[in-house]
Amino acid sequence: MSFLKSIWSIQTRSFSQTPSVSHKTSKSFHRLSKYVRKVNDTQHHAGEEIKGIGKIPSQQAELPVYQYEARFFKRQNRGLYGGLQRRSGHTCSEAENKNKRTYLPNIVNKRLWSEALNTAIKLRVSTKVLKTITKDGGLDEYLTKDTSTRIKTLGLKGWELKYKVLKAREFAQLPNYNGLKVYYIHPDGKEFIVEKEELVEALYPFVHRDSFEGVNKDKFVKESSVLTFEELVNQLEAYNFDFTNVTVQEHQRVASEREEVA
Amino acid sequence: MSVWGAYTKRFQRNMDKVVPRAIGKARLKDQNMYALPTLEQTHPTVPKSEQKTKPEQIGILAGDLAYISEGPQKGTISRILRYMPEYDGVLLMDVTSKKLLPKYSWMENQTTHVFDYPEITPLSQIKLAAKEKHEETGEITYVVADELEMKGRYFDARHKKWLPRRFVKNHDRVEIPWPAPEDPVGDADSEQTKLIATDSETALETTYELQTLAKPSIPVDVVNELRNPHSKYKKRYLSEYQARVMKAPDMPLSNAQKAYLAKKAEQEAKQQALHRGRPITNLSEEIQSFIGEKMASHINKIDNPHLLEHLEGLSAIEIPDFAATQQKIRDAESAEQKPEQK
Repeated sequence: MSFLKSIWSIQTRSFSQTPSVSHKTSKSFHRLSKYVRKVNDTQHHAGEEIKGIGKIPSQQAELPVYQYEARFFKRQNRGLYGGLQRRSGHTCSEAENKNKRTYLPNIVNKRLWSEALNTAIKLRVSTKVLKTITKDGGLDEYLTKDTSTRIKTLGLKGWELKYKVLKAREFAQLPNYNGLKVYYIHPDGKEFIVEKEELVEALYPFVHRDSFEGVNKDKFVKESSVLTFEELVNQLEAYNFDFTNVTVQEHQRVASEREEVA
Repeated sequence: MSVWGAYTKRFQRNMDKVVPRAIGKARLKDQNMYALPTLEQTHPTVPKSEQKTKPEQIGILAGDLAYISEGPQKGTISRILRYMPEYDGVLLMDVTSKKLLPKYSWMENQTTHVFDYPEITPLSQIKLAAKEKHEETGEITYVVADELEMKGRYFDARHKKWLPRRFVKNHDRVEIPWPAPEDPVGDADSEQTKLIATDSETALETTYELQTLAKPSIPVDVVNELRNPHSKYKKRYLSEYQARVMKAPDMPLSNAQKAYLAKKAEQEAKQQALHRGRPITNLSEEIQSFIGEKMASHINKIDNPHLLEHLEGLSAIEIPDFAATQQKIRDAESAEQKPEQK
């Protein structure tokens, strides 16, 4: 049933990675979407005019853009508050004199186990979120649920954890041959047992030799950091690079299969 | 006011609140810490905002006579060499003191360390004096003005500027004229002007005349030599790296999202396969005759000859899409027939 619900949520959300700000959500969380700052998600391309673009960051952002970063009661960005904020009410004396006061959400420090990350994470969590986590069946399930309300109430911290969990899940799905962990599978079937940085290292001498003036290594490493694994492999293929040391070989695959059977 | 101007430190004195004179004294102390003996400063500096710059503010000019009213030289009348606004004092011809000068700062033709150095006399310790010659006897007397009063304005041809008239206060008849400048400003005949001035003919000579605004005044190729076209501040287009750096990573898809996408793709593939599998062939004779009968029955009902003529004209028009479809049908039929023949 929950699966059906999630499918329903996906269909209504039109499947965009950056949900629209004006999307309807539960009435109790209206403030979360009311006060969000509109994120500029313009896609820039090489050769575009710099004028009017604004500041160009020196490094790529580590996290995907979160549309619902809270601008008030900012502590909710540092834990799993589930959309709870400070509420206001009255103190009432015996003579019924009323004075303004605030009520803070019930926040506790907790160590929550993440199945995907294989660690316990120290978090500031509201007791309400703790109940929801139990109901959803763990922290990872809580974080990765796709309803629009969940995305809005995750908060920046939750968004960060969600990214880590999904990345870890993606990584866990890649095969492991007898201790040889695969980092990337190329469309032609090559399974790479090295990280991207090592391919950049391997690519450098070719590019350096190809260039008339030579290429600064630090600059090359920095600028190659934004390339995808696939692009790096394609470039190396163009130089007829020998991939035997960086990919899983047939005998290694067979050996690991034999061991599994045994 | 900038943010930094409003910024104060908790354990540090806020210099904005200190009286400027107090800063002057403190600075004097600091300056004299490393000063050579006999060359220490004695007069604190006046803050720039309080310095007097105009003759009417000061009341005196270089070349005036001054009566010293205080100090060891009291009673002497001396000529003013220079007014120093930063000390609010004057250098007088007769007020000097012996200073010991190090050899590196000796003047030309100086033979001894001891040097007669003019002392600063504060403006408060002097009074303006003026020389007066008796018309008949030729006797010289001095007038000392206790206070001065400025009245009216006149254009002083020697100073080349407007100056007020200077009177002894409460004595409207006693005017003390401003002294002549030591170096007459703009005097074309003076030696100094001749040395530094440019000839009027040279100054007015036109060496370049702009002919047209349509052409640049310098060759176009020179522009790149004058400016740096490779300056990093002039990069106008995004590089590949910059464009990529500006994009945040995408959130990976969750399992539910992947399942949904897979299902959708499967459905679409099925639909496409259905559509693709449908053969484009000629209609069967049965269908053709059925359509023909229907059309004939419709056309037979039409009485209006104009409409019939119009329909005739329409059927004569060749529709390119229709022709293309017909061609496709022919191709498909021939392709089907070929394997049969084999």
